[in-house]
Amino acid sequence: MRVAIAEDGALFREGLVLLLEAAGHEVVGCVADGDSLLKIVATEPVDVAILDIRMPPEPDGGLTTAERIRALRPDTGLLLLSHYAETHYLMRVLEIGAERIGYRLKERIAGVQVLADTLDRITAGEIVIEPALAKRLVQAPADSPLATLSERELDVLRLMAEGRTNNAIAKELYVSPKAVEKHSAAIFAKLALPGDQTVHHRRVLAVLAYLRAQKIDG
Amino acid sequence: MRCDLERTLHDGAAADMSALALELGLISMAAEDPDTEARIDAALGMLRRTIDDLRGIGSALYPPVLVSAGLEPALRSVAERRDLRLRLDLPRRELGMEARSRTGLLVVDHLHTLCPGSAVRIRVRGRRFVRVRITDEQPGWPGPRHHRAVLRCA
Repeated sequence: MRVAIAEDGALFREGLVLLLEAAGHEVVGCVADGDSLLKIVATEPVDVAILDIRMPPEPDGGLTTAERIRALRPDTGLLLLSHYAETHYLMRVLEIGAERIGYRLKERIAGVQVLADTLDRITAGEIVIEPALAKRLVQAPADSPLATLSERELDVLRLMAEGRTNNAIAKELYVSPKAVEKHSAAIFAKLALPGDQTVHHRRVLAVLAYLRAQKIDG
Repeated sequence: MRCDLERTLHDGAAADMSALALELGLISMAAEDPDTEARIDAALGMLRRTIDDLRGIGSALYPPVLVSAGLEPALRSVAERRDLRLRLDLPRRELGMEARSRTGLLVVDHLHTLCPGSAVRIRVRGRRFVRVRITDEQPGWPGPRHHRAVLRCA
């Protein structure tokens, strides 16, 4: 996989290059700001661009650069990294795109396996969301409709909010994909959301938008 | 000053620790015996918990989205983490940088004193003289509490 990096912290940037190379990826560019990354993506084929959210151009250069890359090269995957897991950043990420995109905490990708899994899922067209953030989003107040979900349905919703496919959810929870479909249908019915199983990213967006609305109304 | 402290934490200790996590990930991959690998993974787990603690301190010092995104996302972020039910009534136009920062910190510091499950209403008006009204209802408390403040901003 051909990867380009923009990160203003020199130590983290160098560590990421070593980890990517150890995982067998080719690092085609490694820069400290968004504008330089955009120049690389404009001239080189890049499968995934990895961007620190808080870097030049300030304040959130990673987000503005990701927007520009998505407009210029829609097929290039985007992985946004941050020290913070913020719902606001997540909503911005989802506004940039609902396919081939990810948002993860920096220290959580510090392993060849997890980094490879994150990049593979992004290039496969999925959304990858930091699990801790997805978990926080499904922790609803007692009077929320989310409180009507069973424990297993909440597990499915949490994994759905991470951007996982039905098959991946089934594997994680040791149940059949059919059972996941059944739980998904129950979730959508209880939350009054359309349960279109074929449009994965719209489903995630709907779930996140709903959860966000819950927080606002609550 | 709190904004500078958060930035120092973010660009200094937090950045170094994230880089250290990558280094440990690399060493773990190169480890040849399972015992060493397990010890490195345990160290990585401890480091991640320390970074989590730093993240909490950074957010409490200065909410990371207050400057870039504004008052509302910053307050919602704190309420979400502390499991508070927030109702906001904010000026339509975003406050100037100083007013936003001072108002944000005033409210955030109050939110940090409330127990999970509390309901909070926040009303903000004015630009040079910012008037803040906070009403909170905490579980188990006899009734709502009302707080008012006026901030003179440049």
